[in-house]
Amino acid sequence: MTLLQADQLEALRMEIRQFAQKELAPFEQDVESNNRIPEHILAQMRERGYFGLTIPKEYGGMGMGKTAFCTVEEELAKTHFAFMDIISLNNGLGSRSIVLDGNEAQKKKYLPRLASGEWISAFTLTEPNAGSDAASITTTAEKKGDVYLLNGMKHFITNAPIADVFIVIAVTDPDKGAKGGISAFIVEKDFPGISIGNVHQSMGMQGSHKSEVIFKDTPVPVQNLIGTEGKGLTVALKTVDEGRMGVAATSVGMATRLLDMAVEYATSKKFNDKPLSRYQSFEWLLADMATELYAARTILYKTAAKMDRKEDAQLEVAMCKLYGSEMVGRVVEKAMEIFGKDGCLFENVVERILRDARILRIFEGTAEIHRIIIGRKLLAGQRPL
Amino acid sequence: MTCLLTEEQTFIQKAARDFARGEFDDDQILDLMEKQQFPKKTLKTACKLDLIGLTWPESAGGQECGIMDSVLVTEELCRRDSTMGLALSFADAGAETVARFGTPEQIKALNAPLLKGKSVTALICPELGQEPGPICYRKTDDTLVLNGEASVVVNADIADFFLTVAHPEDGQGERILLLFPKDMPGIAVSELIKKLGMDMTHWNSVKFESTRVSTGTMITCDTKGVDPVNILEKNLLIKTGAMFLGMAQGAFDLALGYAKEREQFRRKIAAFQGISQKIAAMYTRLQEGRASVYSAARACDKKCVGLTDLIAAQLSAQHLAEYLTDEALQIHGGVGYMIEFPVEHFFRDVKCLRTLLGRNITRMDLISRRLIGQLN
Ligand SMILES: Cc1cc2nc3c(=O)[nH]c(=O)nc-3n(C[C@H](O)[C@H](O)[C@H](O)COP(=O)(O)OP(=O)(O)OC[C@H]3O[C@@H](n4cnc5c(N)ncnc54)[C@H](O)[C@@H]3O)c2cc1C
Repeated sequence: MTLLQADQLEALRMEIRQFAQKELAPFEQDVESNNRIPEHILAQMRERGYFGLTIPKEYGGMGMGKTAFCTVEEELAKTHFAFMDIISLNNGLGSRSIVLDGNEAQKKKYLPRLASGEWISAFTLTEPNAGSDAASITTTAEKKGDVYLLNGMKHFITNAPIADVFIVIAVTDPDKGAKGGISAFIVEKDFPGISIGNVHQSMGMQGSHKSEVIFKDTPVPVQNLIGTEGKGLTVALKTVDEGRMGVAATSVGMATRLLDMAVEYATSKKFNDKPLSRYQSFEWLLADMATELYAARTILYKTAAKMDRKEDAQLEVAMCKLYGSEMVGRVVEKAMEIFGKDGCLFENVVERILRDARILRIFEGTAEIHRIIIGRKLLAGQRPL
Repeated sequence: MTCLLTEEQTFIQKAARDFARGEFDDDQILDLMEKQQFPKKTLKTACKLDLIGLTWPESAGGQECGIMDSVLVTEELCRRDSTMGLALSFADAGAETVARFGTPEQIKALNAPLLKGKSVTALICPELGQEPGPICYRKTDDTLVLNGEASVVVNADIADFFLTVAHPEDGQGERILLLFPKDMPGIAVSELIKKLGMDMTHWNSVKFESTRVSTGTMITCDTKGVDPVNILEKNLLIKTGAMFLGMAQGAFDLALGYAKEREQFRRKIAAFQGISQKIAAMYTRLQEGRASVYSAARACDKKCVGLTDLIAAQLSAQHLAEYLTDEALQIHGGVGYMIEFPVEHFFRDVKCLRTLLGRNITRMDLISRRLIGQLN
């Protein structure tokens, strides 16, 4: 991992921001209307190496640390969520378990393809009856000779309809269950017995695809087991934990966009006979938006720096995700009040972010689960630093 | 609070509830939502059961029920489904004002098709507190010339009648209320406006360009000098308050039902104290909001309610609905974000109705101005 200096980080931020403004912004509405990212944008993102930002250099990536990666995510989230979402899996849940626990052969085979964006990945953990309680999954991987046979059904899997490779978490030993009976596998889409079920239609997140994935006697070669058998849940939760920073960075990015738009609207549009900004009501809304945003951004980068120093930051990460995702919810509310009816119209970014931001309090661990995580750590004597 | 209802009110409430439970079909709702279609068939059935036009005088084909009665109906419709409920509740927007103040001809022209579920009114009324509104008039002999553009009008493209509030062009004189058929020269209705929610209710912008209507389309003050526009505003406040209340109750029903069903960690999620406390907090707010809307409605029936208390009741129901739909969605976890679960559209519909009514700040200004009065 190469850590960037302050000036390099600033240069990175500017580079992404320019790219976003010039290349992505003109296509935001297109993504929203057509529910897909235009191919030429994906090609540009591949060319710029955005799919492999966090993947180590020796496997074709850029080896970015947390601070740099959060910077990219924040900047991309200021455009359309889909632009940030499409790169987040290859850089996070879709590759991290291979980076952290995979063997050399797995790294050599998969990481370069993920880093280049040639392959798109999906992280395949949640089941209809195992959401917050991920340990209760029932998809099984039964060892038969030199393969594991996968059977079961997953749902809400981001990228599943377009994925080339799935990181699948399944039960290898039902007796042990969560205590050493769950393993992680690399599953290619061409393995037999994989089908995509119902494609989910959701309130927001246009351009990002999620669906059910069904495994029926899908043979997975033993060499595609990640790490050791029975360690899958630990691997999964470790990567989920890191990935939560992405949710916090997205929250900060979306809220920044809203604040900028709200300031511009308040100064340029009139309420009765004066600009909105001349009324305390609107001025105070802006003040609250900015204050909370500043707090969320500050803990985000403070925590990212701690992770870059290789210190344990689970408590702070949970706080960043919880606070960030709830913060952007409150910022959207205030933006709605400032924009009035305009904020409700389809072509208005406020309307879109309202729908997109609502997922941030749910996926990668709900707000309630985060309060549990934080509470337990506090009671065990930890304090945020 | 239901024990405070009269026998007749309990009956009306039950009729509306049975209708909504029996007639609203979840698959059909999703289908109509996707096609952005107004629920014509359901409206007809509602009309047959006398659930529309409840407050209109018997002479106008109505039931002569009170505001409180109609609040109960609106609440039940929006409770069963926000999108369907809102579409039905907006279908006769403002018609009760026509029924009360209109000439016999006006009443007949509007009510006959409306009561059969064959027609819909579109109300062009400035946001509360917006003076003057977007539409203005000039009077020449026995015609009125209308000009202006209203940026959002509910159901304009499917309506047969416009009920329009207009302000004098030169600022001299009173605002007036007009009822006229839509197919007149000089009226342009825009394409459907795409929006956050209320997927069965159409929004369009409407432009009047030297539209000429006769002075006979005016709906005027009654013999006691009561201004129909005032009554229209009051009725809208209580009606939208009832919509919010209904959507809040509906979201609560969904949340409670799901929390008692869904299992995680080998327990019903309602067994986790964090969730059960949310349920209790939601219920507490619901009772507050209901008390506020019901007492405003009863005061309406006694003709002793001021605009301040009506706005306060509506705002209280709106805040309640925003809070409850948000929490209800959260209690659903991932499925709450998916369109096949109704809580998803309850959440959008509340926000959408909220913006339709204008900014909170405008309504708060109206309240505070009345409370504070002139400062010297
Ligand atoms: C758009 C979207 C994309 C997703 N992408 C992926 C993906 O790519 N891969 C993947 O594996 N998963 C994915 N998910 C799944 C996501 O992580 C889960 O939805 C989430 O973890 C919550 O699980 P659940 O939906 O089953 O809710 P549940 O766990 O059923 O939660 C329901 C409610 O109960 C509460 N609750 C649960 N347990 C407790 C408790 N112990 N105490 C108090 N309250 C509790 C929750 O907070 C919530 O309010 C995605 C989900 C969505 C909606």
